[in-house]
Amino acid sequence: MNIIVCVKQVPDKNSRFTVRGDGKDIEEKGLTLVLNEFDAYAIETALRLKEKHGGEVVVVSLGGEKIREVIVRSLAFGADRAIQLNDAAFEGSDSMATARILAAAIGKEKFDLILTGVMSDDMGYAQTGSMLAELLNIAHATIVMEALVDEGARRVRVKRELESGILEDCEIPLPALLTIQAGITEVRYPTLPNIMKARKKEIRQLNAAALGIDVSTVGAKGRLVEFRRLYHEEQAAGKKAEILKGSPAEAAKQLVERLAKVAKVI
Amino acid sequence: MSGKVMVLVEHRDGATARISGENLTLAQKLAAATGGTASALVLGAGDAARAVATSVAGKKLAEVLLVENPHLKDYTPEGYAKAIEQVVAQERPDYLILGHDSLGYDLAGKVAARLGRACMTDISEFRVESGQSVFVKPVYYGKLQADVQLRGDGPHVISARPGAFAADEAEAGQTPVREVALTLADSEMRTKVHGFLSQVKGAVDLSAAEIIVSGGRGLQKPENFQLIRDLAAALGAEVGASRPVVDAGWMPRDRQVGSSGQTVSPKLYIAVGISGAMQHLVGMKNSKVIVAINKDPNAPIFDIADYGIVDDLFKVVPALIEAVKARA
Repeated sequence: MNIIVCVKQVPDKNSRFTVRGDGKDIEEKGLTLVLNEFDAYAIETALRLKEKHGGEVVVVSLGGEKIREVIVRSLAFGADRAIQLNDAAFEGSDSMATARILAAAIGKEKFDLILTGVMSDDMGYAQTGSMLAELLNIAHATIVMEALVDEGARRVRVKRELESGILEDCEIPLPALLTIQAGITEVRYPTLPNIMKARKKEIRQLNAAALGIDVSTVGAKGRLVEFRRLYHEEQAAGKKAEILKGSPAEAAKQLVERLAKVAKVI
Repeated sequence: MSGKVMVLVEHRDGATARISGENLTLAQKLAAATGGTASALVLGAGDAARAVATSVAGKKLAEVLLVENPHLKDYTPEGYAKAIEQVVAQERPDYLILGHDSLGYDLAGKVAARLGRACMTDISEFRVESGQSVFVKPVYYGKLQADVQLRGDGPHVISARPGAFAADEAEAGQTPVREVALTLADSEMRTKVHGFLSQVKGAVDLSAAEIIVSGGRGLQKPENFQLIRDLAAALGAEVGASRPVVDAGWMPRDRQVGSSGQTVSPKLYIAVGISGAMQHLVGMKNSKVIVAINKDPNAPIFDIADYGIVDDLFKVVPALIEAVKARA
């Protein structure tokens, strides 16, 4: 089975998020950049399917020099090779433009399955995967908690996680795209041999010209979604947390008093 | 511009999903603010679909459109996308509204790509400025907000964060239901739905609990969950958990609070070492009183908390257990 895994580099949750002077994005200083956690589950799912059915796992990611770390990490888990979509013209793309770029690259590969994470941790849009499937005109299923491919690699049976602990059991034909939910399995630790091999595996660089992409349809020029301004939320009227100060013992005592005497819930 | 703000109604077994009630409130408000009209689109099969259309028609809308077809008995991305494509071609709405939930994750991007239109998911608010709609989306783990504008022709595909709008604020009315036919061949269907199952049959029904103490990743190790159990015991409370600690195997799935776990609204919810990711907030934000204990002052959990302590939970929780016991 040939499996493509789309991975994304995101700032870690504990990074310091400061709004840039122009208000349009965040400062890069203070950011720790990591592999999107959902994507680690997608890579793991791909590796397990490869172990069962044979074939190749290829990771694809969009970005410049900075993303090399997450590509190498993906290879260190055990992916076979990587494709890096690298062009200044791609910067500032919204999800649709990103999907367009991914589609252009993946459309040139032979694949049975494309795996992505359900969403990126930092932004939580959960849309690029389904956009990509539509652009490639293939079936898709999202929020996948189990993926079983049949012997002939013609169909995949999945369990999709809906609300309130309900799972949907359904089946789609290959080639297909699945967005993988966190917790589908456990994620392996990269082994030392794989970490060593990772730096030697192929990372093919493709730019807009190599993809045959019209640059007016991607990047800041091609996006339909504009971020006018980023800011810290002003607390909604009527719901402002009373932050209890002092030592842990003092704060705890105040909290118990509030809960007992003011809120009257204990 | 047609001025039409159209909600895709979500339903199961003849009952309208709560998020659709919320989306109808959003549609009414957006229509009012832009001088347009709100409408609803129900896709489904048989009596169940008709029942949903009738129920939605009890809200004040310009109309309810019903597409009733055996292929739409279960949600499939291709069935729904085709129906939406046909309805959009006829009705030309300016906005198509979905929920940022399992249906929205599956369909919003697909529909936007099919139509070649702007898409913004997970919006929490909107306003209209100089005739332009500006949508607000929480970004960067919910620590910042973004004002977003969408370019190009409609419909703009939008999904609303669950709980951001209030279902009970939707105005009631008597709305006509209009049936629209769908052209959809068997060969266009790709997804075979086998059925639905409950993920975990657990002993615990957290929705019945009066007080819940929940732990998240801030606890760092599974052994540290004993702090949560001890605080819960002192308060006579149930123990809950955020998704990541369940995925890590520290707590069983039936303790999970959030969009894919249990939704709770106890009189008191204490979130310990939980940052407040959207999927967790959705499951507990309607709790009567919310307390957050987290060392990160920017954690989004504080945005919905009534009381907060910004400090090391390993110091605060033991102190809190003492303070609770001292009262008893």
